This record gives sequence, C-alpha cells and structure tokens, in this order.
Amino acid sequence: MIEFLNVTKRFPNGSVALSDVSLRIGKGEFVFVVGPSGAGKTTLVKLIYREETPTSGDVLVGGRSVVSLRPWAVPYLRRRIGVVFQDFRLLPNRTVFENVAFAMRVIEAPARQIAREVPKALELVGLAGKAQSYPSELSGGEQQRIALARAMVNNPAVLLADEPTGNLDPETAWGIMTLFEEINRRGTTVVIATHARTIVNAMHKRVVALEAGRVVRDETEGAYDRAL
Amino acid sequence: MRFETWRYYLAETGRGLARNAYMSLASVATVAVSLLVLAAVLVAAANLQYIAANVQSQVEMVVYLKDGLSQQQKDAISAGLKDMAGVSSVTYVSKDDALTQLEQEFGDEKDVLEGVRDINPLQDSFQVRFEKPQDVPPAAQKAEGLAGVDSVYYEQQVVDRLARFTTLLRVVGLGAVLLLSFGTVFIISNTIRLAVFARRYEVRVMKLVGATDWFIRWPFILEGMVLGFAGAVLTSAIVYGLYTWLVGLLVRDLPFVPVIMPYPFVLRLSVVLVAGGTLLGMVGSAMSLRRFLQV
Repeated sequence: MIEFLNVTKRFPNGSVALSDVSLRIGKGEFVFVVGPSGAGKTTLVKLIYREETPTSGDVLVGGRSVVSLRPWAVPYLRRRIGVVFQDFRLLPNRTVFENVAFAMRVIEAPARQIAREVPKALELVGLAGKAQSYPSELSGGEQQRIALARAMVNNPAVLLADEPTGNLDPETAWGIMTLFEEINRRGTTVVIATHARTIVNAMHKRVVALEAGRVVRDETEGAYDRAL
Repeated sequence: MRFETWRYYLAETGRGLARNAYMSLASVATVAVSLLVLAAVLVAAANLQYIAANVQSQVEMVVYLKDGLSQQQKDAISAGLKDMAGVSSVTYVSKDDALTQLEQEFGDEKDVLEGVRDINPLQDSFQVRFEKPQDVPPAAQKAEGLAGVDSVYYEQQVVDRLARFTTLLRVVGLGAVLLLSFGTVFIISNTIRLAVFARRYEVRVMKLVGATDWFIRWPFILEGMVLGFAGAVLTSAIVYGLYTWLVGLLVRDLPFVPVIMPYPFVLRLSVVLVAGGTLLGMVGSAMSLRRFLQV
C-alpha cells in the first residue's frame, strides 16, 4: 500500500530528516513509527500525503509514485488518505457535524451522501450525540475523535496519524488507540507516528523505529524499545 | 458544478465579507471613487462628442467685413460668395443689425451694452448657409481671399477645437483611470489577503482533506468580484443622481447648450461601470491569491 524507496529528505537549512529510508507497508497493516523527537517521524508521515516531497528516492501509495504527481492530482491522492494530528485541527466556529461534513463538502460530495455518511462516522467514533456541539465544548479526547471521524468520513484506504495522543492523558489515549485498532480491523491501513511508549508496548503491532533519520529497527509484534 | 458547491461558495463569500466588514466597506468606497472618476471622464467625453455632432449639423459660416467698405465692394463680395459651391443663401447683417441681435440675446441685462451703443465695435457681415457641411471649409478658405473680407468664422472650427479637446480629455482621463484602477486592484487584493489570513486554518484543513485548488480559490475570487460589483453599483447610483440634477440645471438655465439626456445614457454607462468594477475585483483577488494562497 505504502512504499518508501531509498528516500532521503534534506531541508534547505541543511538538516537531514530522513536518510536512505526504505520501507514497505502492506494493505490493511497497523504500523507504529517510533523514535525520539527529531528522528524524522513527522517527515515520514508528511511524505505519504505529499505535504513534503523527498530530496531523493520515491514514495509510492497504492503502487503509484506520489513524488511525480502533478500538482492538480495531489488533492485526489489526499482523498484516499485520512490524516490526524496532535492538535486536532478542528474548525472552532463550526459544529461537530459541520466539521466532519466539511471534509465531504470540499470534495463536492452530494448533500444526500453527506447526510448519510456524517452520522455514520460520528457513530464510529462514539460521538453521535454531540453532533450539534462546538469543538470548544468537548474534551481533548472527544475532539480527537471528531478529527478521526473527519479523517474517516470519506472512507480512505490509509489513515495517518502524527502524535494523535500527544495532548491526551493516558486513559483517553487508550480510547483513541482502541479506535484506531477498530478502524484497522475494518480494513484501513493505519500508520501512527508516536512516542506513547506504554501503548506501543502493550499493543504488539508492527514497530518501525527511527533514529536520526534512519530506520534502526522494524519488527512485527514489536515494542517501543529494543528487546533485550 | 453542483448546486451544493455554489451554495457553499456563496455562503463562504458572505462569511468572508461579513468577517472584514469595515475593510469590505472601505474597499467598496475606494472602488466607487475610482469608478466615479472613470464615469466623469466618460460623461464629459460623450457630451463633447454630442455637442460636436450637433454643431456639425449647423451648416453656416459668417464672413466679417473690414470697416468702411462701399456698397459696391459689399455687392462684389456678396456675388463672390453666391458663386461658391454648395451655397444656398447669403444674408447681409449690418453692424447695427448685429448689435440689435446682441441686445435681444442679453434681454433684461442689455444695460451692460449701454456704452457700446455709440461706438459699436461689431462688424458688418454676411451669413452664408450651405447645403452640406463638407462644403464649408473650402468656401471659408476662398472667402478669406476675397478683397474686403476681414475674417471668416464657421462652426467647423469649433468642431475641430472640440475634437482636439476631447482627445486631450481622453488621454488625461485614461491616465487617471489607469492609475485609479491600479489603486482599486491594490485595495481589493489587500482585502482578500486579510480574508485569506482569516481563513488560513480552514484552508489548511481543506487542503488536508483533498479540496482542489480552484475549490479553495473560488470563494475568495467571488469576494473580490462582489467588492468590485458593489462599488460599481454605488458609483452608478451617484452618477445617476448627479447627472440627472446637472442636466436639469442646464436645461433650465442654459437651454441652448446641447446635452445628452440621462436616460438611457446613464443606464448604458452603468453597464460599463459594473462590468469594469467586477473585473477589477476579480483581478485584485487573483493577484492576492497568487501571492498569499499557497495551494
């Protein structure tokens, strides 16, 4: 589903975020990308939805090069990828329903489909009752669930998350991770960049560890730290 | 394009305008002022042309004679004028006749001519009428060559001068219009820049979930167009009121000056203004989007 081929990302200021990274993530996989701050986790995620392009190497999504996409084709790539961030990125002046519907409106989905899919997405994240609330009226965990509903409402093949539990207390974080697992069970490929050590260790998923821009470890049923 | 999409664009445009209400009003006012100058130039040019066309239809020239000519000399000139091509009539107007005419024109205020009565600085003249306007200039040239003729005056000269003045007005007006257009575009692009800034989070989310560039741009472009359009409508209203009033005054006090009647002249002008204003608005927002909306 996602493939990194000898990807190097060097920023204009000279710092190297990723160095010769090769990685293959299959359809329906659940992958944690771990590592200390500045190891390149965020850059790796950004390369997948083409927020960034690599300095050298290639990134494939669904077998097609993301790097060589024409600018006009980028939005269509992003419609197949849901993304969730540490800071949720909800629109404060819109209701929960409108925040989720927004993702459908801007890709010009018909009104009937919006009326059908948004409640389904809210139900998936367990917030069907909060449709008319505003983000500021919700807890951090609930806000992240809304962000997840928005990411999933267009049924993307891939769900990316950059530190999705970074702003949440451990208990709430567990709830969010369980939700990712549920989404993955329904067939969506999930890639999560995180340093939530306890959760990664407990979930026994594939773990790709980055250090200073290099893949230092890639284990199925792995843990946050190297097994002793 | 879907109906929902257009509804979305219009709703977003409305939100954008409301969010920067004062800035929007300032933009509309600036657009209106710029277009008002454009309108003034157009109104003036159109009226000058109208006057020129009206004068042109008066096929007449006046041949002024030197002082103290004998009746014989005058008859010779009259005969010479009658011989010219296209002349339909030649009428003698003595300096006394001319003064009487002048007194009639002054009407109640003929007192100002009090001291003139005795010395009468006016000249004897022939009024020559022609069949066609194009016969006037060559005849005027010939008449100037006749013995005893002091000077020849014909409306064509007025027409020429009017034409020259109209050209000057057009050049100066065009310069002013260009300058003000730049100003208008700048103001609108600045307003749109603020709108982009106010909506930067929304734009970021839109890009994230796969909105196309044009989907993101349209509400901003429409916003600029609405600003230009509103300014032009305001200008049209002002021009209508002002011009109607001005023409009313002219018709009452200076009925012999030909002017274009407000209807449908102002209506046609409004179409030009509204189209121009909307276009300026579009250009303004497009400029801003190129620079500030990294999509």
